[in-house]
Amino acid sequence: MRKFLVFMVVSWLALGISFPAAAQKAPLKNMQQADLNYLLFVIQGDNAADALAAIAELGKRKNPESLDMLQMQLLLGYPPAMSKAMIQALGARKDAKAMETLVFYTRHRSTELRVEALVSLCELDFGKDPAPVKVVNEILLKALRDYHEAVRNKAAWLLGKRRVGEAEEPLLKLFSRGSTAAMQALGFIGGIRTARTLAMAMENTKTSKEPLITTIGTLLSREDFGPEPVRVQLVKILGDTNLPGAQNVLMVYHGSGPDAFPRSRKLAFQILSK
Amino acid sequence: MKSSVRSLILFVLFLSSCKPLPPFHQNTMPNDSGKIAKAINKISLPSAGPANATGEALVIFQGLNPRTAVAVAAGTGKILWKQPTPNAISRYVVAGSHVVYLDRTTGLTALDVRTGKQTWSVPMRAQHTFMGVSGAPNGKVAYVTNFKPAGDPLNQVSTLTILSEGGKEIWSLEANGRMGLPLMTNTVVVVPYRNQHLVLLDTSSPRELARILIPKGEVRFMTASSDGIFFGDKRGMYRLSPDIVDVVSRAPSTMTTDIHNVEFRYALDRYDPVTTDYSAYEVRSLLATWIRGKAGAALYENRFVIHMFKYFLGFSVNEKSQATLQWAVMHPYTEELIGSKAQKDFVFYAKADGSIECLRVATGERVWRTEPLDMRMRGVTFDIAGMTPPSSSEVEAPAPLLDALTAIANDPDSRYPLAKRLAIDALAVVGGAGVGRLIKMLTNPESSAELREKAARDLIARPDPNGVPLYLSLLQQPFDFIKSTRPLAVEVMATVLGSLKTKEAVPTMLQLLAHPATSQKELVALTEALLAIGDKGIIRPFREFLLAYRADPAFAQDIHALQKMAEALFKLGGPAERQVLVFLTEDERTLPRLREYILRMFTESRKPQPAKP
Repeated sequence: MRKFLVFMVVSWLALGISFPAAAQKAPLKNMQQADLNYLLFVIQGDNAADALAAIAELGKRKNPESLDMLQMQLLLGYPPAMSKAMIQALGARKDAKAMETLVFYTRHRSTELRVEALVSLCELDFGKDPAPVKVVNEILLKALRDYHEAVRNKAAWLLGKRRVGEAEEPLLKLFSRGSTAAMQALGFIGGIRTARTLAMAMENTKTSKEPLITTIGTLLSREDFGPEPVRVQLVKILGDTNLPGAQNVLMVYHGSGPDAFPRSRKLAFQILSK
Repeated sequence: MKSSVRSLILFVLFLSSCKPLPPFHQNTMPNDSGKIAKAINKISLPSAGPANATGEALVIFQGLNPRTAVAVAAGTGKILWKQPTPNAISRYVVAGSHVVYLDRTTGLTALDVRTGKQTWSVPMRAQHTFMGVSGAPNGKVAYVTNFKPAGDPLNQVSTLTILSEGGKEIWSLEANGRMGLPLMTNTVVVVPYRNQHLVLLDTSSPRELARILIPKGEVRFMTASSDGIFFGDKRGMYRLSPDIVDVVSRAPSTMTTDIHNVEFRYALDRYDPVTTDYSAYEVRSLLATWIRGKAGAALYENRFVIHMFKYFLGFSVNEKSQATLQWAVMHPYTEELIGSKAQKDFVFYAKADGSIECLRVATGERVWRTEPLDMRMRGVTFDIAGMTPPSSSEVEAPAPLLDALTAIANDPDSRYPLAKRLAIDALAVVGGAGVGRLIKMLTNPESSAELREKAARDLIARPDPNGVPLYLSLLQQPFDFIKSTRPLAVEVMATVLGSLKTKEAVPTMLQLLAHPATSQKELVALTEALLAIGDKGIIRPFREFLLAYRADPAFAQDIHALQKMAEALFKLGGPAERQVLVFLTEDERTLPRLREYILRMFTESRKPQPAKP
């Protein structure tokens, strides 16, 4: 009987301790059904975890009111962690109306928020309107000149992903200053100048060769990269490089390179056959 | 019997008390005008020409390794003779037909001034500190040694010894207390003694001729020319004259300048044992030719030159003894100067490569130079009285004063911070540095921190409305990592534009305010400047900024900019801005210091204003 009582007391204590935690988690279960006012209440509340969940929920909603609320809260200023979540939520909404708010945050003093704002800005869906796309590209090009490396790297990556040809020159300059992100981005947008720069970099004994080979591989895999003699030169350079990565690139290129450039693909095969 | 013994003792005591003092005694009464006048009449001043027996201007170098005496004809720069003096531990002193120096092993040693051959040597007394040697044109030599029993500086004994031209001792005197390096003339030796005394002794016999007490100063510096004997301390210089007792009760001849950090070291310190040998003191002095003036000592043509290491600064002095900087000359890093001497209109100086150069005191032009000798020199003795440089077609004008001072202040040679400080102070006094020059000083990456600070101070102290386009051009430099550019001197330019209340600067400053790469200090300066300009256009950017960063912990430590923005919204904004401020105070995420500041602002604004009288 006594043992049973002790067991009951311990169980009660354990449950008692766990009750508040359960109570804290309770709103999370109802977040999907909660109205906007409740979400706002949670965002403005003391519980950071709930606030972040409420922000994420706002990002999932489809109605314009929730978007306005998200933007309004972002402009009222929150600690960086919450602002970051809000920016991510705006990006998830992909709504072009969020552009102005996100542009504001591309100039924020926090590097992390600037990077998030750039990423979210690139996620926005502008339909067939070229004007905002151009604005975003210009913002990304400007971000390439940011004094913070993380921002430059992200901008380079996004520019490469978006195939912004104007970025080639600044990316080449960044590459000359040792930026690996710029080099990778050049793989997606680079032309003859990039090929020449990469070829020269391959001769430099101080440069790490593997990322260069990967970038050349990316260049070769593009259908818009050419002309054929440039490809031939790059294939020859890869052929002269005694690294497994180069052979892999040549194999992939020979196997699945663009059909418009048979000469260089054939050369790749010849090199691999030796 | 007892009374006779007592009488005898009293008689002996009486006799002993009447015994005259020895020739050189610490208790000799000073300032006997009659004796002083007689002693001064006895002095034969140096002639207007060189002191050496050849009659030709000579420069004696001391080679560095091995130590070698190298006599050079000053007029041509050609070597006359070389003599190894490997154990030389003092400077060379010219005395008539000899060049005298202290040798570590043999003592005081003389070389023939015509051939360089050793003629005589005199051993030094053991345990005595050599205080220096001085030579007269007739070949007589005076040297002073100092003895401190058991290192006790209170009971030190100084010994003055006079040697003949052949190295024979003429006389030697001891006295309690410290003597400095004497100044030797053909007939009288002038000895600084116990800091405040100047003792004149006959060179032929151990006889004190006169003694002068300088009541308010010291005798640290002494120099002789055909115009007289000049002495003094850092306060200034006196000329030794029959009425010197009255003269020394007045202020010495000196100069003042508004430039800080100017050291008035009129000559080598006669009490400092360091000056017995060549040292850096050789190139830190005031170069001037002292002449007889209306009130005692005066400067030849009212000009002097400050020599600091490899820099020369030429001054002119007006009738109120106010010195004005006229020119400045800097030598490149590779050129090391080892000694200099003023000779009326010219300053002669020697370099470590053995070359001799000459500047015109009035203009700073380099009027003459000799070729380097293939030796590294460590010191130099000039015997060039009356010398003028040979005419040369190769006259090199100095750079404009402001350029020269800027160059000195920016000299990457970090060995001489004192000279740089002097140049910076001189720039402040010389003035006239336009906005362009100040901005150049401020933005040049080679500018020293001190120079930048000075330029910033000047720009802020004297904001020039004509310079606004220049100020704006600095702020409009883009933040560009690729081009390695960024706005320049933001804090200073913002302060200047704020004090000028330049409204056209507002858009540029707002752009900077919103830029993430603007530093916290720059933010504060920009905010204050925009607040000072008071343009209503700042309200919206300030509001946005305040909201965006009100809860950002990055501002928790340095919240001044946010506070100033809140203040600006309070002063310039309307009801909407008040609402924003109220929101900031009510929202718990706002940084506590910002909330407190805004609340205090509200509280103070509600207090009744005191009625105006």
